[in-house]
Amino acid sequence: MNQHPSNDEFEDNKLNELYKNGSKDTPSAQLNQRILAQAQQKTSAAQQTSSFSQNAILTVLASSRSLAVAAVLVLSLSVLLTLQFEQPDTLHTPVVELSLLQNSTLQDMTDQRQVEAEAITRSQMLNEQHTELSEQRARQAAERRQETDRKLRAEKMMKQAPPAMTVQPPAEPLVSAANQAADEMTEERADQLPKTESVSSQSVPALSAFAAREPDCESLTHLQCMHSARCTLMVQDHSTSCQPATDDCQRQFSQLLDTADACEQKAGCFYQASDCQCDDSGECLCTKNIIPGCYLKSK
Amino acid sequence: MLKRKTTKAQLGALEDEALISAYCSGNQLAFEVLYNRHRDPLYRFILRQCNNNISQCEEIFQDVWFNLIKNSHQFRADSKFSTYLYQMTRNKVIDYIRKASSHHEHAHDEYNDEHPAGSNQQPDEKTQLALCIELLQQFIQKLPSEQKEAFVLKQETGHSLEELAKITETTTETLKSRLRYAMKKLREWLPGECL
Repeated sequence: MNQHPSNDEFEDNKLNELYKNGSKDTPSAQLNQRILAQAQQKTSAAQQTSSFSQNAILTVLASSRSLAVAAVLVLSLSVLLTLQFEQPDTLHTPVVELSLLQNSTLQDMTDQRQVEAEAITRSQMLNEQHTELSEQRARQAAERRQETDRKLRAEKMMKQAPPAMTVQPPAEPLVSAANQAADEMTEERADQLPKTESVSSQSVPALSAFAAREPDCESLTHLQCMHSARCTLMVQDHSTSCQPATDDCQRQFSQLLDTADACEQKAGCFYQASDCQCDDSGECLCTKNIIPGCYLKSK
Repeated sequence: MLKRKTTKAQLGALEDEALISAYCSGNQLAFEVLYNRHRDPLYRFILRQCNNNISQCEEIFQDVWFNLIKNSHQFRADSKFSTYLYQMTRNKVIDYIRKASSHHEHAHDEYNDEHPAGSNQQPDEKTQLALCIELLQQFIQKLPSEQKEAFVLKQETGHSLEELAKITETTTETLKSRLRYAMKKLREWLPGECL
């Protein structure tokens, strides 16, 4: 045992000697055996575990070669099968023959995909044609609108031509069919106009000449008559007829286009309101057989 | 790593830390050397702490070594093996003493500084040493447990005061104080013929 000279205070030789002489107690032999056996058991178990681990590692290492060979075989087989799927006509190995059934299935799938692709192409073509048609119609509609505008401008110029060509804003209770008919009439008149890009003051004499060549009132349909500023649709003897305007109220007044204000601005005139329905032939039926228009006040 | 065929004499020259390391590597002989080195002092330390109760001492002793065998791989070489061994033993002893009847324990703690009852046998020349040894053992058991622990550890291990303080989880000064009181009382209690 170690002695520590620096701690002499705690070194009492007589006391130490007495203590050491009395320290004869030791563990029993059985206790020693138990403890040493326990230690031996732990060592043996550890060695067995270590031995098992080493054997396991050796087994794995020994089998690794065969595992590697098997892995190479599996990879090679998969590569061959892949090649066969991609190029069925170029490879004819026995291994590839085994996959013919799968190839036919793949061929069916390919055909189906081709049909689907053709259908998609056809659909795309139809869509394109539809788009072209829509664009063509839109172009035609735009051209028609431009043409209608041009004709309306021409008619406006006709009405503005003194003294018989004053265009008034359309009456409020216009019916849709009447509007359509008016458009058609405008188109008819515009068709007879010289094909010019714009209506200028130089063309007004020609329009006046055109106006002078207008047909007789009796030959006009009801709608054309009501549209005309020189004719008046009226009821005589329970029958409707188109007659030339007979007074200042009727003259220069379109029963279809002019408003009540335009009528009543004229001295001694009053506006008779009514609703009319016109058919495709231009024949009109008015409520209670009263035809709208500007009439002379009766004295 | 030590070879299995290392002789006992060669192992006996090794430090404790090398031996426990060798045992962890599977050298059973290293454990035997280590066990024989610490067996008797450790046994006596436990026996004194158990008031010379042999059965209790053997139970603790076996438990300590079994625990060491089981957890030998947990020992770290940065600490001294004997310190580790005695720390573990001390904790075991404390646990056992707690579990044991506290009545007996308290009877020993409630000591007084008066001369304890010793043998009234008159020593003759032949039996005087044996009587002194017996008296010393009796008086050691009369010491307070902390003083007894410090004194027995000092006698059995021969460790430095710093190491003893580490084992008992106290400061060196406290340990010195405990030792001083223990020795003073033992000198006072022992008859002059023994000293």
